[in-house]
Amino acid sequence: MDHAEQTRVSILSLILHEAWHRKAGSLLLLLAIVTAVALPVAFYTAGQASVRETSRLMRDLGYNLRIIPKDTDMTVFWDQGYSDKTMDGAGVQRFASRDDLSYNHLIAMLQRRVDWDGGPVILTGLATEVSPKGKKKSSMIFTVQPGDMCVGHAVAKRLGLREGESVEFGGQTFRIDKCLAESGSDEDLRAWIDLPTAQQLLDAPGRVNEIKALECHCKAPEVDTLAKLRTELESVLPDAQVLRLRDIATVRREQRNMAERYFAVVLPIVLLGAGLWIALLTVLNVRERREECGVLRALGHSKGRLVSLFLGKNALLGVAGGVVGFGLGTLVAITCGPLVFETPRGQAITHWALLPLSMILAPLFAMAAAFVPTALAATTDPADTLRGPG
Amino acid sequence: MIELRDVELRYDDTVALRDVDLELPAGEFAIVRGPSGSGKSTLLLTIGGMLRPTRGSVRFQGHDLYAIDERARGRLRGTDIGFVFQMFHLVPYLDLVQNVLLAGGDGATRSPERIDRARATLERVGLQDRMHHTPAELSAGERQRVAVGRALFHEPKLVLADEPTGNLDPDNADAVLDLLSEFHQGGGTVILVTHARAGDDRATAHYALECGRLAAAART
Repeated sequence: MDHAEQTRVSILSLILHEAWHRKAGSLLLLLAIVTAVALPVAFYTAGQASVRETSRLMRDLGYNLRIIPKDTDMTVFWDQGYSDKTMDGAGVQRFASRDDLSYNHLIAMLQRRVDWDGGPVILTGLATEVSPKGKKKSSMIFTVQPGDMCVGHAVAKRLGLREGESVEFGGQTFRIDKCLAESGSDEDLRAWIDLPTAQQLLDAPGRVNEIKALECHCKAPEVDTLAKLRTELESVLPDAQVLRLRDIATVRREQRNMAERYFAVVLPIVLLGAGLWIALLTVLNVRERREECGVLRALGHSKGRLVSLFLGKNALLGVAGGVVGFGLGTLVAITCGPLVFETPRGQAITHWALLPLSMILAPLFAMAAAFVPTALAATTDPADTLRGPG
Repeated sequence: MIELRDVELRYDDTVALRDVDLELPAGEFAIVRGPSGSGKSTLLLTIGGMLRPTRGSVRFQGHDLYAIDERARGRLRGTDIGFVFQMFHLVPYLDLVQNVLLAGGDGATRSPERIDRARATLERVGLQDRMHHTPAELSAGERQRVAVGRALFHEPKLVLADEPTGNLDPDNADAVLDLLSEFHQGGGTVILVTHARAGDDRATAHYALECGRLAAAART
């Protein structure tokens, strides 16, 4: 007796023989299942890559903060672009001395709108930028030496200022160190001088009205949220409040949220389509096998066995589709995810936990989609297909 | 062995069987003859527990077939009844051995002994060289011989044959009828429905079916 004969003609064997016999139908069924699995796997994998990338950016970029006096009228602040109140300028040093907060750039400034030869200028006193101890950072903004002045494009144009010439302002003489190029922001209306001179001119000795903390972090990752950061800063700068600038990570997170919302719409449609596809293929399979169902019933096989044949096929292809769909989805996420979520290549990693999940859910999905046509196959009167012309 | 009492079977407005009474002892080779559309296949499926009559009762070996549940009827077919159809109805994706092994229903085991018997059955119907072929690779006569082998494999007490020679040439028809005769001579009961003259010389009882009404024609 050879091996083929010894093979038990079990349900599994019948399913495998039938699936192989009707290869095209089986492949289409497999394709439907693969599609239904690959899309969620791809999106999840790419989405997780985006989450990690956002976290990395948040971690790397930190918070870009504007620290302003606590009693600032925010309406005025947003209207004129700076606080009309002041706070102790020594807060910068207290901030810089904290061990539990890190930053890359720390700049104190005093700014106020003044009149200069009949036109408005935002006079901005800049302190020397503070960098972390032991870290030499390139400055985020230019520094202004005492006696020097940098002017924005609109100011230089209105007053006809040129670099290197001397000007009189507030009873003092300044050398125009830089005439900045047009920026398209309120910088065009600014005139920068050193902070002590600005404090003197504006009659606010030792005072500032803004500290910019760029790329700022709490060192403990678990407190790396804005609320926690605000609490931490409260102790350093009790007379200040903190505003967070929108950063690229926020934009990216919003982009991911948008993709997730889009996915929430697309996924049910794809699953519904795949489900209908599977149901339709099962209907065709049932129609094609009506005679077989009839003869099996005539030979004494039960309805349960018929149901097992159809649902078993979907379950088996579901397992295979789950594995293939997982692989394909992961591959798509790794290759195409960076385009969709604008994440760097290499961020998407294989989520192995999805493999057993796919292998369980895909057969269940395939069986659920095939349930109605299978039930119809089992309840169809076998005599209809077996009755001859007589 | 088989007893039909006042059996009527309707499809909507059509009466396929009407007032059918039949009492057939074990060991008979009965031929039911009738023209196409006379209800021959319907009668056979009704006797085989596949088609519930609208009225009347069908008893097989003392069991009221339609009083027992469907699973029990299925088990009874799996053990005591064999079917042969005009269109063979072999499973296209299984080889001949596996097709024969399907006989016996849910309870059939695939023991080495059964596989040996399936091979022996195929040898008996003259297909020892085609055991691992699929039905599509066989001629009509060979397919019908496989179908007869499948019907006989589980050693049923009754074989119901629906136009088993309808699609066969005379030689193959004879071969199939020989197999049924052999089963009958071994003590089995055969009911063969046909519209042709086939099998007349082998039958022990003849019936005529016309417009759903069954009448005894002759006994030999």
